Amino acid sequence: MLTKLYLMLAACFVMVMLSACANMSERERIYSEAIVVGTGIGTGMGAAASCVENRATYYTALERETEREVRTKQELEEARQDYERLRENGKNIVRTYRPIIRTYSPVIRSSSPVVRTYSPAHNIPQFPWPPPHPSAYSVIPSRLLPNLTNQNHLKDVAKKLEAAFDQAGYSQKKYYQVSDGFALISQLEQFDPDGTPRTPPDRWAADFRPPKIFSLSSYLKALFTANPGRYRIIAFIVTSQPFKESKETVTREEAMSWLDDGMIVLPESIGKQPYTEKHYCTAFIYEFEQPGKEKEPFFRPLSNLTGKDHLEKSKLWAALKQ
Amino acid sequence: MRIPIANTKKQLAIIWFSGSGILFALLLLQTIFGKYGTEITEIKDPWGLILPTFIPTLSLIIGVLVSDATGSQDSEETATVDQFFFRLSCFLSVTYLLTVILTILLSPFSTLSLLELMKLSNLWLAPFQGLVTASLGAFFVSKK
Repeated sequence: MLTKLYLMLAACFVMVMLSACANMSERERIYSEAIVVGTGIGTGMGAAASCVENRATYYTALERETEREVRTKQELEEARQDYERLRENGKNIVRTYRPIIRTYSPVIRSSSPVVRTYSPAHNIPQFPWPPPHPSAYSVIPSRLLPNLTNQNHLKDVAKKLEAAFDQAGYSQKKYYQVSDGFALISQLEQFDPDGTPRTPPDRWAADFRPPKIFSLSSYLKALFTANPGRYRIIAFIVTSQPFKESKETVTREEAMSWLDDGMIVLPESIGKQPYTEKHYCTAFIYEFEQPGKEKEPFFRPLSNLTGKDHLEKSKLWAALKQ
Repeated sequence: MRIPIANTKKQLAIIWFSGSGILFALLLLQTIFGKYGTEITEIKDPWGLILPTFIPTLSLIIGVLVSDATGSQDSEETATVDQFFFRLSCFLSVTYLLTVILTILLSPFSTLSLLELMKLSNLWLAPFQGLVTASLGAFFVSKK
């Protein structure tokens, strides 16, 4: 469409100019015709280049799409084979253990009250363990957590953490089970380079939002510098088990799914476990950066801020102090 | 009404060189401060989109100025052009250059990224550039 318009304009221009050349001297006519022909050729070449570029872009996109389709088919085939293998293994396991199950089923049935008591705990989604590699972390001092008394349980720690989240403005959070404890995950939030959360509704937006212009300096900053979107998810992990984070990293989508799959409240089976001096709380910060609206967000393995900076700027540290 | 061509050519050249200079400086500063990232492939896109908006016309103007400088001076001093074509060329040139510059300057207020905005601006800049080039051609051809 644009190319046609270009060519039509060029043709009109050439016709008008050639007719204007009729009343000129020979030298002027040669100059004028040279300009007209030059401009015509230039415009034509521009249109042709634009046309070629559009075609190239189209074919590249087509090629990518085809590659993606092939990859998806291969992945599907691999998944199907995995499924078949697992199904076969499952059948073998059932076949092997069927006599044992038959033998012990009366025993299992007789001990059903015990099974019922602990069964809810088994339905609680597990947080990836050991936890994925964070961008930053901070161990929460025990003085900021409930006192160690015989009456305190993990639910008291959860209450304290929930209250801190509420006070800092995080209204949505989810619980997960971890080894001898729990993990409390915040919702995804956007923050400024210094760690301060962005003002709502941009704070809770999952899509890229350009920075707000409120002064000349912010305008110049937005005009001349890259303004990547910065996202973070804060996970408090309370456990008595010493652990080391895994080397695996998470994508933003995986981290966001934590908020979909977890429990809204801390299950009683975990909450009533005693809070002992072996228990400690660690805040893991998972940070993601999106260079631009059209770019994919990626995990930042090392944050520019410390874990404590993140907690202080998000006002969680102050809330925990209270 | 006809006016001497000598000064009018210089005025048009000043308009185009000033506008192009501003555009070039804006793009250079944005590149230096990392607006377009650090990868060469990322930086090539905005330059590839903005340079064609003024380089062809600048080349045309430079071509005419060089041709005048190497030609006879007598005919240039007495030559005149149609005032209407001169005013039309000036108006279209200033409006066109302002449109290109404003596309960059107003980008922080847009929800689109600068690169998306540049690609989108081709929709109105390409036909506009055709009109500007045509008016400049008409201006130079109307010389007597």
